[in-house]
Amino acid sequence: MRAGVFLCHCGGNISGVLDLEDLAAGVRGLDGVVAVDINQFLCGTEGHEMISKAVEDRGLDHLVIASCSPRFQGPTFERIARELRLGENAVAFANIREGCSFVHKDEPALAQEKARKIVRAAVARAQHQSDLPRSRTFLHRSVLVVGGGIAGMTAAEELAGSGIEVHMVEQSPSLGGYMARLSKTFPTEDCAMCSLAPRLTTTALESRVHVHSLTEVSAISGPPGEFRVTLRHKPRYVTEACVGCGECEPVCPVSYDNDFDFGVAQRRAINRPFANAVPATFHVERKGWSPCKTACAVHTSAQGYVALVAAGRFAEAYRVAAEPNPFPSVCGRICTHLCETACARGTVDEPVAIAALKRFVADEVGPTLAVSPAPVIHPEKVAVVGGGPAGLTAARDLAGLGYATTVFEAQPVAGGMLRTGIPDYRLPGATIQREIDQILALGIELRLGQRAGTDFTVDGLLDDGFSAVFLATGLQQSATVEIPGAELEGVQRAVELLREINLERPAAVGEKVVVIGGGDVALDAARSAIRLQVAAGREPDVTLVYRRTNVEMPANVTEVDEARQEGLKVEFLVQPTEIEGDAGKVAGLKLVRCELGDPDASGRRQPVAVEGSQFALEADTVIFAVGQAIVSDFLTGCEGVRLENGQIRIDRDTCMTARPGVFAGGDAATTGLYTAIEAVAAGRRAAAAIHNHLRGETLLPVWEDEQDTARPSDDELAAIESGQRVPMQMIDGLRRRADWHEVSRGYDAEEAVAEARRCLACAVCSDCGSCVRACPSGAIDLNEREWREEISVGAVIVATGHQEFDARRKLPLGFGRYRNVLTQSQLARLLSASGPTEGEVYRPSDGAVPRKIFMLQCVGSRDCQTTGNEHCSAICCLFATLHASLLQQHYPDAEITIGYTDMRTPGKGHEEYYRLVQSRGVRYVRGRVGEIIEEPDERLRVRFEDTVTGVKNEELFDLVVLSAGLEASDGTKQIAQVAGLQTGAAGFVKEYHPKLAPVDTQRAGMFLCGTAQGPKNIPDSIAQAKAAAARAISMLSSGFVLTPAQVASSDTAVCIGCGVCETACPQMAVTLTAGADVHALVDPNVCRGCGICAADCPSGAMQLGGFSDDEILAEVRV
Amino acid sequence: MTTTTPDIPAVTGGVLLFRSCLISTEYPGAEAATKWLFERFGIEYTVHPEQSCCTGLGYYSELVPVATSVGLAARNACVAVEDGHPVMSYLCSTCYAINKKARNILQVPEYRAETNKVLAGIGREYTDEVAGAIRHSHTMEILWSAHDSIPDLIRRRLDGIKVATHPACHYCKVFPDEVVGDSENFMIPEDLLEATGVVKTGLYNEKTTHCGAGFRQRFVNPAISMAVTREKLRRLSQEHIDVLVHMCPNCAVQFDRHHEIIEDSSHEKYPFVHLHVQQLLALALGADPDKDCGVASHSQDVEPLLSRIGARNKVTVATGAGLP
Repeated sequence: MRAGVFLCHCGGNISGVLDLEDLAAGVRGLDGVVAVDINQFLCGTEGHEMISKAVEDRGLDHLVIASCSPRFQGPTFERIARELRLGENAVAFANIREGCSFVHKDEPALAQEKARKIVRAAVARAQHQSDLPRSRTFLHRSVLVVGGGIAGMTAAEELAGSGIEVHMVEQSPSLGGYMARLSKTFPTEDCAMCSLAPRLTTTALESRVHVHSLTEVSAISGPPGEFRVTLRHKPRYVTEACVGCGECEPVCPVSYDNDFDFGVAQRRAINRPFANAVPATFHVERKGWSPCKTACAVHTSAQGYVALVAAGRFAEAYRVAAEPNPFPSVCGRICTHLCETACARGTVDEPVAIAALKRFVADEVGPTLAVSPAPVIHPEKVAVVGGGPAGLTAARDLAGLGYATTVFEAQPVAGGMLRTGIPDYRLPGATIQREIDQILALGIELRLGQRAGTDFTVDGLLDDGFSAVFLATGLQQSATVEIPGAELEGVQRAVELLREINLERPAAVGEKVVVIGGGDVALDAARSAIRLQVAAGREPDVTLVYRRTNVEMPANVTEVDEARQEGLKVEFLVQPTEIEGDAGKVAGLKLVRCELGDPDASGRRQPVAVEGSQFALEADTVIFAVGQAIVSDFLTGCEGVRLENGQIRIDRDTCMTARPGVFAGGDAATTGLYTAIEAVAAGRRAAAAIHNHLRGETLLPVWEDEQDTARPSDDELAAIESGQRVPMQMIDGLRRRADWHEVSRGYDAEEAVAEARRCLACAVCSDCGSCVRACPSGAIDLNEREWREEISVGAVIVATGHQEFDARRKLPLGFGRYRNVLTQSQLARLLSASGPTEGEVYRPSDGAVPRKIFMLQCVGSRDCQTTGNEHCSAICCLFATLHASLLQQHYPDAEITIGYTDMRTPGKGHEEYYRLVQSRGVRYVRGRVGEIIEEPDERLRVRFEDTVTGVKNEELFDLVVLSAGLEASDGTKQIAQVAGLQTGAAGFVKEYHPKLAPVDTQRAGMFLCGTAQGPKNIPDSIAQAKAAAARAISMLSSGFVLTPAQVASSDTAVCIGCGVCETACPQMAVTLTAGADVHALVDPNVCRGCGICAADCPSGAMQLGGFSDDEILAEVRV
Repeated sequence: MTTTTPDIPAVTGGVLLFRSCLISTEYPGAEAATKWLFERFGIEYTVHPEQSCCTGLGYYSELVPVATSVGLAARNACVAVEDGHPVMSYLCSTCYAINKKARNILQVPEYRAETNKVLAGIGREYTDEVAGAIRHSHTMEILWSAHDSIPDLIRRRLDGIKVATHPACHYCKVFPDEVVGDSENFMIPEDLLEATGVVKTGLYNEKTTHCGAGFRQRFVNPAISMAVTREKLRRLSQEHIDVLVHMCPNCAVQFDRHHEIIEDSSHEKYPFVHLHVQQLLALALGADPDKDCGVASHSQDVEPLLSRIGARNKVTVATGAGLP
């Protein structure tokens, strides 16, 4: 080594404390030191020349610089060494300023001793410093700007102006950020939108800026210069065909508290945030499917028709209800309505009465509709065997698709179990007949009294020119039960009994009836038996026995209650063992009591007989209602169709049996689930499957692709005032059992609207389709899905901004509880000429203009409690001053008080503005407020002490406005996580160095600007954005980048491949190689030389360039 | 309204029920009810004869110098740790805050050394072991740590009884970061009672306002003191509560002893009563109103409330943990 030691006076900063001559003397004789020199300012031109001369004259290969911290002037001396061709890592630094003279100036003797050691250590270190390799990476001349607010747009404009492509990612529907929501800006009081709009326009028109709205960055990988970025585009549901005419907005029935207006106003689910939005298209606020839609077997947009009922638009509501389901009035009565079970309102009080609302629109609108025949456009004919809900739904869809369709029905009426299995008091025959007639009016041929296997065969149909057959024969008989006495006279079967009653054939039961079963059919049979007994002039005596409890019972709970009102007796946890006979007739029933054991395959707990608990019931009629079974005579002449566990075997995806062209569905097929709505769903699937089969393509989805279910958050649910559903009028229990009239009377229009208004609009957009029908350009596509895209960029600028502190966290201030407590952001929306009130400020509780207004500063800022933030939010003093000034000018008799901690108004023109506003009559009081109290008239009582005068005040105000501070936005927190950026207090992204690198981040190639970095005003954000753009331009303009010298590298001969370094690296720069000889590999493009991996490495294989073990040990051993 | 207070781990390591001068002289029933509840919950505890005063009333009235308060706090900590009952359970928020404050002062080496000089005279030392072992908890926290067992122990339902919490300032405001739950909307008292069927009030106007006692302020500035108390009574009557539950005897004295006096002077009616949480909870769990809860020491007539909840009807309650 031939080292030169250079000592710096630093203009007295060092030499004022340390004796440099003494230090020079101390190193002169050291091994390898061939030159020692002292200079006033080593970093200056003179120092530069002195070093150059020494290198040239004495042939130096290392420099030892005894001066300030290398964090300060290190790059200067490294540059000098590079220029003198000494290579990388040729400079050893002895920090005798920050490390010595600054901190020990009161003890010069000890400082001198320490300085001697520091310099000697640097010389020792230089002995071990060797050259470090660097490599080049080529750069993409494009930049990802995350965040489309004023900072992001400014950066984008600068970059595009330099010829760099910009990908601008904005998670909300439009660019504009926070500034687009402001009314005016301080201190000039010029309109925020007037300053912003030109920039929005230029950004939109700039061909080098690619705007990705409603998009999030979901991953960033790769080295600086060629970052690979994954973008997640959320659906807008409005395509580029949108011309912004706005026809869609007024027809939308759903309004919601929107984020853009900070909840001070409601918007329609389809909206455009503001007039100058970029992109100018509308968007649909849609969180997926509502729980009711997910729960429904045919995915009816229940929220959609409920929203339309609430708006009084019954005809449109009917259309939404009937589109996926041709039996709305049937399902409005007898559906198992899983939609109501799923309804989020149920967790607050009671679910919305969705079924009753469906019944209301179906009864109100259904009868008024005239149906015309659907045109036949395909040559193939389709036969449907079975005219129940599955068959008729399939026929309707097939007719709609353009097929000539014929329905074959064995009974003298169509409707299947809906018609023959459900008594009139629950579902009047005329109601279902109307819906059947409307289906048939599409041009469907119905052949009654035609039983498959007897009157015709499936083979015959196919021979007669039908191209496809859909078997929807249902389960037309009761299942049998093997218990002694089942053959006795007086034993009846529920399905057959109900069919006789519904077809108005003679039916009778005895004086004492026992019904066995716990399903809907059992209850129908029991309640029908009561009516038969009453009709025969007897007092009803019907007992229902069920082997489990009311919890496991499949029948509807409310129906059990209704049946009890009519006189039904119910015995739970009992099981029949034998029917006793007398002279061939039923005389009684022996039973045993049960208790519940372990769950069976269906998840229900199995009943287990209790020993010695036998008992008997008197009975002359026993009705079995324990399930249904297929009537399989249609199999005659039906080649290739097989049964499996009593149902027709079909392929789940094609709905086809083993016989090509023969399909099956509903209760009869293996996918059947025994409810009306499942049968309708099966019919829909079958029609789609038959269409696909006949056209030879996959044109329609057989099973609909489900979307995410939206649900209000727990906070939103907690805020809902609980109530109860609008009750439905019923005929009195004793009166109704005397006839077969429908028991429940349904809602009238007023009740229906009131009930529909209870809907929480879980998914916001209700999928009602009103906008789709209203849009003249066909631009609305509610089937849009999220999609991902990968792009490559050279650099990243994070400009994701801030959000207002959630003032609800300061409970005693009443925000969120009291209507007249607002935040400054909310007031900004009210004051904005383009806001929801066009610049007028109204008191939320009564719409009056507030006269006395209190503004409270430092809400959530300068607050050391756990609910607040410690930092000063920097803008609030002037934000409140601006709003006070605007209010004072707009409402001259307004009395405005600002309660502050300290007024902080640095910045050009700010103090002057504060004084101006004060002179206009706004009262500034230094004092914080502990609690805001709401009086019964919703005025707000505020107690505050003027800490300047010591006077305590207690006053009533019309409006309180909280100056809630700034926190990092959710988008900032998200990008920090994705990009691996460090964050500090309140989530703001940390800059690389608070003074020297304020727009760089810890990750090379990623820059930072605006309020994502910390609270600041608009001009500061713009200045910082331009700085960030300049940093990106300077990085990308060279076309390539050199990797830094001080990066980690692993000695593959020593590395044991343990992976500790890979886990430890905060930059994700270390990877393990694949294969047998596994070892760590550092990407020098990504490494930022922090050294954590080297410190963690257990084998010593990982070394940090410029900080190798040899260099550091040499230094510390001095 | 559901429970909002976060669960905390069960107390282990022996509880020292720290007796309070105000509780003992004004509402001994609150201490009795606490002991009764500890037994029901199976919380092992002791009452130590060597425990001395916390000095809070003297300190806050500027009669006792801080060094004395810290010295006695250090002594009490030594007593508790030596006895193997290092978890202090304070019935009074003044005891809680002054002992916790002393804990922080004793972390400063000079102050600890000064204190230990005095303690040496009685053969004791506030060591790192004592500092590490001692735990300062309000009785509310100890009870809350066992709240899971409450539903099974209820013998008298309090359905429909509306309760509100008066949060004690020296619990909620001196160490707000160490409060279990939200220091600005303290809910343990109501959450403890939730399973009994009470109607909770949660946040109400002036919830964080103090009781008005302010130690000597009650005597030195009675007009301001009573005005503050009246304001809070007025706000609470707007909430239509039946019981204001307390966690500090200072507050209870201020409210219970002055309730009717303020009613008379203001010509207003505040139709509710004051009880310590422990008393109301113990009543719900079947405790005897007189023997276990000492209701006779209250100035207000609590008999109508006791009748309403059936507390004058005897119920069968197991006498201790583990017994049938």
